Amino acid sequence: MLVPSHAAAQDNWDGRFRISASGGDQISRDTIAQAFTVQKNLEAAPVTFDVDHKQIYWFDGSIVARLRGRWGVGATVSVATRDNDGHVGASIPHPFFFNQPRPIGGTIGARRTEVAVHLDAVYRLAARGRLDLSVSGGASIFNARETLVTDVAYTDAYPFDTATFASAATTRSTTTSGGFNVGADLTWKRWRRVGLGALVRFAHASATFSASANNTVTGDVGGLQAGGGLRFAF
Amino acid sequence: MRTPKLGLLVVCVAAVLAAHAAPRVRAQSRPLAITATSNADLRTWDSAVDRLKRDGALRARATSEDLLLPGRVHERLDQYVGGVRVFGGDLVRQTENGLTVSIFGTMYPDVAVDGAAAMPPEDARAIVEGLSGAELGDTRRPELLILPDEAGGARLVYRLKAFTLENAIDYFIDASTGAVVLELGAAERQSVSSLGVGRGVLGDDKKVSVASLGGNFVAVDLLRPPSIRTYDMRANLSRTIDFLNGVVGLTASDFALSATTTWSDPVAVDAQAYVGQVYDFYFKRFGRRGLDNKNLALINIIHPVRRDDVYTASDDIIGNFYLNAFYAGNGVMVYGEGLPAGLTLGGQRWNYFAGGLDIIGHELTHGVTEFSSGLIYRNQSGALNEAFSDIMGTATEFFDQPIGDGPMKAEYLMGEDVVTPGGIRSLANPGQFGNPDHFSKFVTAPADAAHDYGAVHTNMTIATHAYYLAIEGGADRTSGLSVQGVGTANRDQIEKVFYRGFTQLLPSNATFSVARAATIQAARDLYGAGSAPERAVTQAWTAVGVQ
Repeated sequence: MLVPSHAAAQDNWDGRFRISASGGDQISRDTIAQAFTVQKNLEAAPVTFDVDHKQIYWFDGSIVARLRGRWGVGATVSVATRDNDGHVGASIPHPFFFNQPRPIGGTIGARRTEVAVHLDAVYRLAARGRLDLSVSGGASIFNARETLVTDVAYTDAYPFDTATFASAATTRSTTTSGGFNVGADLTWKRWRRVGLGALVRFAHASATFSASANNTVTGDVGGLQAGGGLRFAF
Repeated sequence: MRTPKLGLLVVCVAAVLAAHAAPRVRAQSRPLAITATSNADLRTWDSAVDRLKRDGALRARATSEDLLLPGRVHERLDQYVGGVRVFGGDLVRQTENGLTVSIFGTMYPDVAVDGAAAMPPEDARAIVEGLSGAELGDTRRPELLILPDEAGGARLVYRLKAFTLENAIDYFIDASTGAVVLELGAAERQSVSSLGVGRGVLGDDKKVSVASLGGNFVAVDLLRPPSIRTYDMRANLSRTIDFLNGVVGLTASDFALSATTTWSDPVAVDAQAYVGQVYDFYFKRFGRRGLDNKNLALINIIHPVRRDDVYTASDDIIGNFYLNAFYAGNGVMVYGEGLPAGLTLGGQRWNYFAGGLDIIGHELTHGVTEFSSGLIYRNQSGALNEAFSDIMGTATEFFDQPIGDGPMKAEYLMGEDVVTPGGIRSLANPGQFGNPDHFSKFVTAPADAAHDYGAVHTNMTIATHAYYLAIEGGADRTSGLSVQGVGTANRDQIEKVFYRGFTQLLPSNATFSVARAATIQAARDLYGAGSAPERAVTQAWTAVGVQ
């Protein structure tokens, strides 16, 4: 995801377009809390998987075209990805007796990948010396991939009164959803066609990931992004 | 005062036993009960035992590590004369780091027999086959023994077990004359004192550990350490008898099976599940691995007869295969079929015997006894054998089921889930079934099949009531003496005391008095002198009149 690094044309910048390349950190409230059941030992075994994606690295590329005066339009392709550890918990039924679940728990790695396209209106808010401040907002389309748990593996031994988490079977669930974004970009024009920019952007959508028909989870994609990068005008 | 006399006695015993280099006849073979727990007694007996071992008069049968007290070792020794084992002559020595803690046993200082057996073992087998009408397989080899009798005599005998449609008998054949000297019940079973009919399946859902085989599922437990298998005899009683006698083996086609994982035969379900639960109880409570502590395979035999055939069956077959369950030795349990719905006996309904957890606990405990104390199935030792089975059967219920009244609840009744209403015995109130709660009411009867081998199923309740009082407390109805029990929350203490006493300290020919001493010693071993369990056990035995 990305707030487009618009180059709302400053007088001493050449060109009608501005291209930017940025990267940074995304902070969000996004926590995946998966809950489903599998059959173990002739009973339903509840399984939970919780992973915190509150911080994700991102980078993007954008292009902004000046239309008239302070207004322009921009398109950004943003990629955010991060591996986080998530906690798997389950209650494994006893092999000999009904209603004698044995709790297990463990940690597995989960990857969140978000590819977003932001289509924005851009407005150059102010220009002072080498600095250029613009704001933007528009629609976002997210294609997100999430690691979901589909089953758990455990070890146990006679008398089977306890069980130990071994691993979890996972799948990568992909979903596409629509949302919005707003942002601001501050560019310092170091040379005539090249500058450095810092941006802040908030992008958001709600996404439903599905591992199977009865194993779905809804979470947030996007978040508050902060970062910086290069700005090119032509 | 006691030590010099004892020392003299022990020296004499050792001298007599060691002098038996060759068998010869002695007229008298009075048993000598040994209960050595004091330092003075232990010193005397310990050296005597060592000497007897060196001389071959005592031979080690088994040595086992203590499962409850690390560092303790139990050495079980059999008495031999001229290389022949003396039936009922054995002792158990408990040591800790090489120091002897206790010795319990029964010895026959004067026993001797003359010469070797005049009859080859094959003749003894033929005699037993003739007596029982059963064909015996080659694996059924007669054991040569010296059998002391109650009159003080002794003789060389062959011992061989045979199963028939009517009974299961341990035959003792005179090795010279071929006469039957003694018959003991080889099937240690639930007592059958009245008849009734069951209600069918108890209706509880339970899991059963099974295995897939040839597209079906068979009752073979692959999850527990021992092999637990349930065989459906499909009412083929003669094949059942042949199997019990070692004539035929059972194959995969005999397994109880189901085409799907949903089993429709409640007898197979209960037999398979409950045997597993009893194994679990012994493992979790005492650390014991099955009957022999070596994960001996557990074999369930179900449906030896058809329920509807009861109307044409003989009384013996009804008594053994409809209204009973029995342990047949070497890990084999046979469960009775019960009676058809609507048929009652003695006002009670009799369901499938595999449906009672305490019954299965009782039967499997006979196997534990077989591989530990070997309590001889007659008179006081036989009553203790049965008592231990009821004690552990009840303990299994309390381990697995919620406390209360009604089906599948833990209480102090035996067989109450199968024989309804009421069950067949009570540990809390033996008199409810006409059984004794005090040693003054001990029933003396001949040790033969017609008299329940000395009323073992009757006298057993003296010991089981002591167990009950040690846990729950209260007063014995006959003596009026009160017991301060350890309380139901601490029942595991008394369970461990009795388990230890009966499996590791008792000799095979134990009396009630020896059982008292052994369980008190076990309480001291586990919880210390003056502990609440020791007090409770001591008071309980006193309350039931056993000194």
